[in-house]
Amino acid sequence: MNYVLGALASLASPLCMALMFAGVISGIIFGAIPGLGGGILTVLVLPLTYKLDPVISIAFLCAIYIGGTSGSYIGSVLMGIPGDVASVSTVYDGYEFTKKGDPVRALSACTVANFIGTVPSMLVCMVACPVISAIAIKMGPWEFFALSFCAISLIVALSRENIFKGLMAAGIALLIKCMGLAPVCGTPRFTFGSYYLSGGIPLTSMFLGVFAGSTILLEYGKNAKADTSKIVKVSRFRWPGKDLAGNVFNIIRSWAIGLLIGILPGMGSGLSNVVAYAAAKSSSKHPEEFGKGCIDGVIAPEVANNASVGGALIPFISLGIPGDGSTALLLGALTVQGVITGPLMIRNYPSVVYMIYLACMVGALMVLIFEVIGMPIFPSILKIPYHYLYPIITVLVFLGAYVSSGNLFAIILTLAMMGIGVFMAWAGLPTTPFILTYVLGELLETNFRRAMSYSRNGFASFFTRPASCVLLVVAFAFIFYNLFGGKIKAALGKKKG
Amino acid sequence: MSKDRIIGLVSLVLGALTLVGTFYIKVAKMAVSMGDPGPRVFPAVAGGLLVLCGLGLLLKKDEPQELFMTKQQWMRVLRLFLAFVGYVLLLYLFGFVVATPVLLFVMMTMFSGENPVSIPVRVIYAVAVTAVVYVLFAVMLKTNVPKGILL
Repeated sequence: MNYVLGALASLASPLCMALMFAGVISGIIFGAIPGLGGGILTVLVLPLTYKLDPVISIAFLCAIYIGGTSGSYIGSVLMGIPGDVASVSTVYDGYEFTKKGDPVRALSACTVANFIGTVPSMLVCMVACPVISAIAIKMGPWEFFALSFCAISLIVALSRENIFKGLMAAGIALLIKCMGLAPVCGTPRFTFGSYYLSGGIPLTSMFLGVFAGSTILLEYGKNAKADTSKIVKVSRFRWPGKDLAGNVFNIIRSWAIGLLIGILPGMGSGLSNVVAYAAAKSSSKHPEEFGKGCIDGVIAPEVANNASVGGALIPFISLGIPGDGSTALLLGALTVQGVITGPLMIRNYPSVVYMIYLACMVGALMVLIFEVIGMPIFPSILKIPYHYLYPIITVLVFLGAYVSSGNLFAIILTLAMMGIGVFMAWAGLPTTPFILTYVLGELLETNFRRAMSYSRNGFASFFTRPASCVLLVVAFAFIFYNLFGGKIKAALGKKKG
Repeated sequence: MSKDRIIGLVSLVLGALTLVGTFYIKVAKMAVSMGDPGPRVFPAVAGGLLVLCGLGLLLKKDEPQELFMTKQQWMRVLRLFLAFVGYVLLLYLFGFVVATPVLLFVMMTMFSGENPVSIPVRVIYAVAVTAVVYVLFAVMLKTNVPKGILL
């Protein structure tokens, strides 16, 4: 209880409230603008938080996370282009309302649906985390290795279009993570005799280069700024009582889908909104209306993507395994602050953990208030000229890299990481396996080597412990199914035929 | 050669180089305890994974792919990248206060494209943003900003 009160006291401080408010608004803006997204903003502000108290920093970053997840629907509804993958399915019906001249109905439904999705999922997170963490404390390095491996395998297996590219992204991230001094023994690896490389590639240089820097390069290269001339005017928020009342079951189902998908390591709002939309359509009494401006198809993805926030935070807080790309960035931010994540986080850093719970809920309330009051200015957010926005982002990218390491070499590394980011975009390598492997790489290696040192049976010990064995079997099954599942199905089909 | 094959080849070469590089990691015997597979395992896993992906992509059936960017668009990317390299050089020589307004001015000119913003607006923008960022980082947060060797 003391920690809750302590977190509340920190939250109520003028600095924290001001930062959270700034985080929510800037998160919504970045989330709304196609091509940017809240993740990039998290990376950009990371160096700003170095001098702040970790508890206040995490409140600021959570506010950005919530604002970014919510803001993505603005682009979906007003332009038919999602600000972020979290609102891909919102486009199908949300944009139809804009075409019909009534965007306020869709925007208002999204605003309330976001709040309905976030707050209960955070309450579940508050209850579930201590329970899971208490069990996880009993886990050894075998289970932690298996869990991290399973998380990476699940997300790689999700790269359905081309599993080799998912694996390649994971391989590149692992290679980058291997640079510098090895964990456990401190042996230098791939440092090429450079003093600067002995610490490895700094997290900020990697994130700033691969995500923010490469986005700027590609946006300039493509020169394909969305046509904002057709964005219609938006009037004031309209309470969507009737729409919500007609969708009670849809909301509960979408919320449950969002929460469960959020909990699964590596998956998050990007998948949950698509699944919730498909579930809403398939169980609807009027599926033919979907895609033509059906409010059910707007509410379902927007409840689900925000329910994934609480879901994704459950493995993050209780196990130290990020639930999705955004929580992987949050994990990176906590690492920079010196917080050691994992099952002991609740015991060792209770003020940080309670701040995450409270900041997400208060952030959701701030988002609701801002979006209700500020709805008429939504079109202006989408009309922010890129030539004002991108130069500032660029300066923050380079300065952020410098601030994190205090030397120009970090900036040169950031430039190199931009090149890798552009290559990944060109090659179609998925980013989530990349972030997840980078963030979990050290955990994976440390636990693997510790487990091997502690056991007498060598690698077999991973399979003699039940939990570790189940997780590894699941991980291999996922990879195997995605590599050969199609061929096996085709062969069986031929036999039957 | 199709795009996926090129990506496969890159992955194969990178993986092979990593595997070779793994042998050059000097391991002190005292640093590795009994049973510990040592610091070479994970780089080897990364290399092996990249080789496997490379082979997978090289042997995969070709699929038609959309054009990612035209040659002109790639040239734009290169131009901006060169501007970034120039900025890093200016940072090294003259520091943040001189280099940043130059980058902001150049980038605003590049991004505004066919409808360029007037020069006074660009200058005011470049100076104002530099001042705000400098005050935020150097004065309020008391962090170091690049000083430059010539100033």
